Amino acid sequence: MLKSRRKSDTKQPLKMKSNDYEGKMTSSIGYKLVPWMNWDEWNYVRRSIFSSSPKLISAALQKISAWESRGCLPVAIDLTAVIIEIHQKDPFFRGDGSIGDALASEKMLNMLYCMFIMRLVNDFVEPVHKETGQSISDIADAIGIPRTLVDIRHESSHRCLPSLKLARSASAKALEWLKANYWEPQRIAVLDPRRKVKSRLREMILCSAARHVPRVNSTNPKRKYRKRTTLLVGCHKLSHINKRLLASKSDASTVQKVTKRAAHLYSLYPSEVVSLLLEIFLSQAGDFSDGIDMEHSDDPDCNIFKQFTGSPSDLKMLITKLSKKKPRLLLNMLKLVLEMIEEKDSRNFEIDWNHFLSSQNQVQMNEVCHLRSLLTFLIRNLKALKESGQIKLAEENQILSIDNIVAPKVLLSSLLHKCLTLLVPGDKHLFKSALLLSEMTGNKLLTEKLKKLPLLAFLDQGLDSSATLSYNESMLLKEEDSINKAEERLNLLKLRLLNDKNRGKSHMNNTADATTRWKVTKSWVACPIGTLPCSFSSTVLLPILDFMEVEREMDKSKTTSCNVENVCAAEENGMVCDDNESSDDSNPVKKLKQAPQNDDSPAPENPWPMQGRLLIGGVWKKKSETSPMPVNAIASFINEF
Amino acid sequence: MGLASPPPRQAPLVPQQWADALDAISTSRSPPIAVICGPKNSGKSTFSRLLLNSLLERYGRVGYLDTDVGQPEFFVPGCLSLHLVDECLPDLMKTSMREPERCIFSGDISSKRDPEAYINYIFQLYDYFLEKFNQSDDVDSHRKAFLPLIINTAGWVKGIGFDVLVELLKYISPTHVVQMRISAESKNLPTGTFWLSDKKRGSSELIELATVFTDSFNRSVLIRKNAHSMRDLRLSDYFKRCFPSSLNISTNKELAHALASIPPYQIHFSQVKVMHLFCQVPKHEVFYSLNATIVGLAASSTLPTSSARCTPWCVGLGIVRGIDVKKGMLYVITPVSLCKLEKVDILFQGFIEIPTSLLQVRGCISPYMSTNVLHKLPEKDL
Repeated sequence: MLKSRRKSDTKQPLKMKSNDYEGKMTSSIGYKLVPWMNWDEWNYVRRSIFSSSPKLISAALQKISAWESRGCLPVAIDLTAVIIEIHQKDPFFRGDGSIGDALASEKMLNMLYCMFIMRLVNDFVEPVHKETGQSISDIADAIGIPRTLVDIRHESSHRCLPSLKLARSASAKALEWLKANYWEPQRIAVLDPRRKVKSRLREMILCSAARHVPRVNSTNPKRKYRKRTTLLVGCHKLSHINKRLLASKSDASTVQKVTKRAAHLYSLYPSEVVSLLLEIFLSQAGDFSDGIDMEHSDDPDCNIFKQFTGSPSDLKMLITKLSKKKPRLLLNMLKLVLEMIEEKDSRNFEIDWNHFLSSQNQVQMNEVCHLRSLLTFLIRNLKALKESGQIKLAEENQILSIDNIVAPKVLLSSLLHKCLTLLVPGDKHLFKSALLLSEMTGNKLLTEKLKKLPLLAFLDQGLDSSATLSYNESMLLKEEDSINKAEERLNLLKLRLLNDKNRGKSHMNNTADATTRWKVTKSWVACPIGTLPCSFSSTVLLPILDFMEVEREMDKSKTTSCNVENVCAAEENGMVCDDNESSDDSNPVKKLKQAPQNDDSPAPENPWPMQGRLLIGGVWKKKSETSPMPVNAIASFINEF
Repeated sequence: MGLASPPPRQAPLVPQQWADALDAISTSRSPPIAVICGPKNSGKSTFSRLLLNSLLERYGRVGYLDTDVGQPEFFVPGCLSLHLVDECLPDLMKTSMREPERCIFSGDISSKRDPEAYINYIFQLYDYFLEKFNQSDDVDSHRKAFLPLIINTAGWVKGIGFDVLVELLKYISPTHVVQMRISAESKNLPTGTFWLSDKKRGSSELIELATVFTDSFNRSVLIRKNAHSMRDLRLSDYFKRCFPSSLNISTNKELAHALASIPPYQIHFSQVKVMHLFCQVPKHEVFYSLNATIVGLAASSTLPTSSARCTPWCVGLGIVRGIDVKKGMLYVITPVSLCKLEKVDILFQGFIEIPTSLLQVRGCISPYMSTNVLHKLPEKDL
């Protein structure tokens, strides 16, 4: 007999005793190979295929066909796709009443339905039948397959096809069975872990909070009140065990226990834990700022809240403890925080430019502010871990050892790179983060340069506010001085670039001719198969696999820059500020252009992000390779203020 | 779990019947073309290895056409391959990894999905061998080496499997057909020249041999259960060749880590064509289908010229380890050398499943390995 199915089909567990049948498949404990990359993809298909929109349905069917080509497609999904596709071909089930590509022949439709029903019954019943020798109808009964389906299977394989009407209604029953026995239980099985993580984390934070309440109290009475209410609210949800945890006044051992459990949780669901930690952090931050907003509603400066986030909050304690056990947590969090800052920043700038500060906007700003403070904290932890040897730095492309977490060196510089991209003058948190990072890389020159950065920013702020003031002489002198310096640096960079270019050329000649299509990727950071290395953290990137036509015309992404914005070659697309545009454009809204795609660098390989760039007017600019930027352009740019 | 091969079966003493057969084939007047057939676990591979060694003594170089895509002798699952062997096999109980002379990616571990294509693959490889190494009508034929050929077949001898075997024997009309027979008569092939209709008398010499494993029934059950893990082992062994042997990768864990870390090859989408062998995948879903799967790497420019059959030769397997749609890049891990890779412009996707051991290592788990999946049956045997 020809077996039509793939080897690894999902079936009912073979070794079920008859009284175990409940028509439910039990979920497995270990890892299984699945054709989808994450459960969101699966949920998308689930929602689409059971929707009433033909468009969504066909999208789901196409996705399933891609899954099928990977092998390892659960048979329940395969069968669901089959029946939905048949229904799409049957005028009876087509909601819109249109004929379209519907099948006109009832005979054909009937055969399709019967074939589907035969496959369904056989796939779920036959393995058990073979194993136990029980009758087909008994097994079907035990797993809840309607009797009609068993009868139709028998009739159509041994006698003649039943009526189309019967087959149709049976097919609907079959679909219901698949929903109830695969789609729903699987949906719930995936939902659970998220809830579990949430409740455990809450428990842990409460536990450590209880320990620190007295200390925190002394600093701020308002906070004390707040803390208590959160505690009370939380307590309602606590189980008995948690209450006991709290009651025991959480000595060191309980905290340890809780940390251990959280670490275990993290090893199971890393992304869930990280995103939840951040969520809680932000909600806490929001809590504190709400109360103070009343008093300082006109002052957007977020430094005022520093006293709250700056003090060792409970959450931070938790993160520190957890990261000692699971160093990778820090890297994961760093990545997420940076991404969030970036996202919120870009949103804020837009709002900022068009409207006056609204209260909603301000909440946003506060959030970013808190995130920035968290960033410094995370990096400090990272540094501590590095110094204690729990995280090691390695040259890139080294093969990872299993025991130690090894972060490639390239990672640090790309993190730094990212920090600088997001750096806003006056932002001490980010600046500190960047400084810490550069210290970690061991690049002294870079550290020195970074230390000088705030001066430049100061200068720039001075320029901005001086719009109403008249320039004084010393200011002008300073300008002249800086122009001269810039020219000097420009020449230096030009020289270096030339050298680099020559070196690059000789290298090219040695290795490959112009026709090579296959190349070994120059820079790579270890990441699981099926993912891409993230350009600024050691965490992995789930690739976006939606097909797009290769666009030659890059979309110009607009970013409003608020007086001073440091654009330092945004990592992925090599976004650089167009020289000419910004120098003769008096509008501070600068258009960022995507540089032509750089084919061979999936991760930034530039060990020094500032290389080839100049800080001009608070904007990091890529120096053009062929001709040095005319110095008078810089002068004119500065004079505009 | 280590990559060590399964516990060795005890080397059989070569029975007299086998020794006679080996002698008869290797001393035949012209270089023999021998097809070895029979049911699963009947000793086909063992006999082929013995025959290979004994032919090598006389000819120095022997062709070996491996058509068993499920449990290949010298190459990876999913490939039909033609090898030229010039050194004796040291271990008769173990398969070994060899670079093939020519190879075709069938994309499946059996011929059942597309028997017709499978037969054509065999013919194409056979034609290539004839043209290159066993042709006499050329003027300068003297310079050509006349090489003997061993053709090992799959153990699927019933139903469509039988039809495939008959087609193969008809086309090749070998000088020798060695049929292995096991004690369970019903599983054996028919006796005699079963591939020919009664009236014709074939020129082939038929040798029927009893298997040396008397407990073949028990054993066959045992080994069949392992078929899947043996394939995984084979694929792991193959991808281990991406690394210098000095790296000393001995466990699956180390291999998985090494594969996750190695800088892959990159190729732009526009420079390769993705072909699905068994199913249609909508264009915009191609990357969903391709990511983290094993593909056959083939070059369309190397199409065989003389043959009417024209499946591009395969140069090896690769793992599409990541896709960057934004950059338009596919990242591929493969042990194939860069100079061979340079010609590759087709990626064949079949159903060669990536060993899960390569996807799950602590701290480096592929997104395609998921927990909370509704239960699956233990692998069903083929």
